[in-house]
Amino acid sequence: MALALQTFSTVKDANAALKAAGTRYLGGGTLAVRAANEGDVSVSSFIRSTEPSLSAITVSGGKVRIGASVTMAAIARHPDLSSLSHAAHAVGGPAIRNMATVGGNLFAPAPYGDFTVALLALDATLSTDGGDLPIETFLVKRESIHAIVTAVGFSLPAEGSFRFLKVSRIKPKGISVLSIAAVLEQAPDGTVSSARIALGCMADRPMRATATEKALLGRILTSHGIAPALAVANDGTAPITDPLASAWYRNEVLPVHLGRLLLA
Amino acid sequence: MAKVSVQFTLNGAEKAEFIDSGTTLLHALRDKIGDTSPKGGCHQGTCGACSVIIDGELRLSCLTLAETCSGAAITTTSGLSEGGVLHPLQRAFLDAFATQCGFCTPGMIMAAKVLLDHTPNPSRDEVVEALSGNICRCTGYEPIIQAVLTAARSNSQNAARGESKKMELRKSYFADQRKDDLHEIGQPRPRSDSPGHVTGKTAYFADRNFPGMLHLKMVRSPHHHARILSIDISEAEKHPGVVKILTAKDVPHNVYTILILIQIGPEDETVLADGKVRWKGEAVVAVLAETERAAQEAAAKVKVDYEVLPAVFDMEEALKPGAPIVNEYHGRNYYLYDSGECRKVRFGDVEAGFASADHVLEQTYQSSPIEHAPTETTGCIVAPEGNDRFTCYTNTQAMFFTLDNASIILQMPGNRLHFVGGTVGGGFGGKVDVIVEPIAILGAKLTGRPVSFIYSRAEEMQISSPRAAEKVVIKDGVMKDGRIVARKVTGYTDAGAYSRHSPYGAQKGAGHYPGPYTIPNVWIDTYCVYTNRTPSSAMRGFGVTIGDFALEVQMDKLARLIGMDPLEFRFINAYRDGDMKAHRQPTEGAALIECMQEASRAANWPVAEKFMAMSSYAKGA
Repeated sequence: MALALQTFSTVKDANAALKAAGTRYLGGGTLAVRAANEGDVSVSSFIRSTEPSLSAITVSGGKVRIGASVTMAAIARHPDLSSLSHAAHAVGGPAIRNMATVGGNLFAPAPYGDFTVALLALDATLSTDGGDLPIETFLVKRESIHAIVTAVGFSLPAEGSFRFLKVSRIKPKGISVLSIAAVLEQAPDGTVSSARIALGCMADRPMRATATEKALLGRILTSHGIAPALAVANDGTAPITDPLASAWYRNEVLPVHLGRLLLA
Repeated sequence: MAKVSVQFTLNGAEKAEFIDSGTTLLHALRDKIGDTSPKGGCHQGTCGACSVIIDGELRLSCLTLAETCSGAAITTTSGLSEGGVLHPLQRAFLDAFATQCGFCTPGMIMAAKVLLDHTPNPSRDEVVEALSGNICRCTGYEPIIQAVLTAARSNSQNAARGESKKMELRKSYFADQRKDDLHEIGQPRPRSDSPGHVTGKTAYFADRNFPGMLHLKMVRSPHHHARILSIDISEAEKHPGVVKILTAKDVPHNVYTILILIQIGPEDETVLADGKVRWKGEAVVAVLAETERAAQEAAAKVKVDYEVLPAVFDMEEALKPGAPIVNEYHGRNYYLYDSGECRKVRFGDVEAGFASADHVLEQTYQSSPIEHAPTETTGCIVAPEGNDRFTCYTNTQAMFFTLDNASIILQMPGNRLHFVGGTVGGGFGGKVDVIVEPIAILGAKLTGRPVSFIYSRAEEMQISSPRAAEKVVIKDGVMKDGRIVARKVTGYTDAGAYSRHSPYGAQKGAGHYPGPYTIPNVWIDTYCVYTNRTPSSAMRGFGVTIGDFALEVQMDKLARLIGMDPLEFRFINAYRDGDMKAHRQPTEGAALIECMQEASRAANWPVAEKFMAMSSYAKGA
């Protein structure tokens, strides 16, 4: 069947249309149109919604809500999201950032989906017409989710607590070898009081580095202090192998880059 | 197929079209409106060649559906010049030699324009970042970066013309060897093809669209080595939009080899697999349909039943007794030269040389296949003419090789084949393999309709021939004073499953070793080995480049071994005019000494004065 695009003014109507076989939601096109271009004939109908709330960013009382159609470029230039600008800017070149959406990034398979690594570290909540769900729950079952994700919400991290690193082999930027996002809070004595760390490319989707998080608690961010955390950096990882790097390589370099991020 | 109307402005002009729903903006611009300045290099958002400006923002037209652009203002590179006067960016790209094949140029200029529209005086880092989504495979980026910075400066001075960078010709070398009285040769000149590149007017083979054109998609082997038990095309033939499906029996002379034209046989490769596949990705069934989509859908319905066979991927394993035979047309896993199992060069007495040496060093070097990754993928468009002739618009780098091989494969006199080449969007040797043209011409012949066969990006990366993997074993005898007295090289070239140009590549290696050095005792063996890998072929200096990597690393190791400066060590051994090479060609026009002298200055790597006084054509010094 030939491809067709159906546009709906409301998410509700788009959700209803997505129930038909052979449909796929179209965000910025960087995943869905690419798949069609590359010969994926399983999709015959793109569905999209132009509901204005999908394109809105609101920041109020330390709470952030980003509509699913918001692009990486819009996040990178938003004055209230400067702490996340680096993570949004890490996605693609300028044209990709003008197209790629937050919603699409949530569904991007490794080695893509760098911004979702940031959202996982930020403990984001995803909204759908059927209710909210935590990002970790979403990531586990994202292939079976047919409802349109309408927005992501999270609390703005305390100043200086959010760190993000994307490692690629091409300068100034390329596709990820791996990416790391961390929200670290420190007690007045410098010891880590809470840590939430997410990894990209270390599995087929973003994952938490829970062993590292635990090993950091009560430690100070020095080479000696983070050594136990780095020793368990590879716990539970199952990295992808692709033309950029093997799973072995990704596991080898993860502790190195994690160390650099923690000591930065 | 649902038609939708779309209206937008393109470079200031109103456009209104009815298009198929789901059509990308790239296809709408190129195929419906006729603006071919955006190029399709990957169709996956990676290369940036299709970049356009939509409402002031840089976008990828290959990933944008045209119907989402209604009401938008779209700018392409073809619309930048006004009244025949180039935009400052176009002028700067021209002056800075920032174009080579030109395929990435329109996208680069779009990305640069958006940058300068928002940031009139960018830093170098900002330029690099702005171009980070655009891939150039030819220039190395530096001239492009300089062009954008130059255009920014000329903008800020409100001048139409930027600072022109003049090519520097260093004429002091070999000044006594020539008269230098020519008007064009030896003079700096702008590239004659650049004006077309910077305005998006250069015509590449795919910048054509014929009414009723069919699209060819290939069903490929999912196995490295397998017997084909059956092929069932019955479901695919019934698929809507399918016009013709081709299998091996449709190809008049299905088994061929490119170099048969220069008597290098045997014919060892199938146009469409017949009975067996020998590498993963081998062409098995060709589907011709009204649209790319219909061809893709029908290709998915072709059923091929395989019996998987043991495969061999390693050259040493392939050469062992009992290894699976990759290619029955050879009957052994190496190419049989008239000199035997390998190409051989014998010069002096290499064993006596090793015996007299102060040190002997043997090292092994290996390389993996390297893909050319041109931004324009391999392809052709064939149009049947009324006089029973076929015009083939192709980006081959081997026009007459392709025409003659197509003539053999199709059993069709060459005078019925009209090949039209032109600017190639990056080749690097990767477009010399006669792969797309014969089958596309056959499709045009059997359907009477124009046929387009263009590799997808995935096919370009995985199906087109890479540079061969090589293994090079070098054993050297060297004296404490720096003279290399013996060199033995054993080279292995991984041809993959079929010969293509690899027997020639391995032979070139034999002629090239021992490198640009004069060594009195030399022994060379080079093997062309068959494995179940993607057939390899030509790429910039194939048969030589990997050898040079191995040789020069070896030279550094030898210098280290005897405690000598690596550059001075090379001066001692460099060949000079008149020296006899190992394959018994006297050296002529060697400029290695002068090249190293210049490198010594440029890299601030001083060597002893006696080396700076040397000359390639004056012995003694």
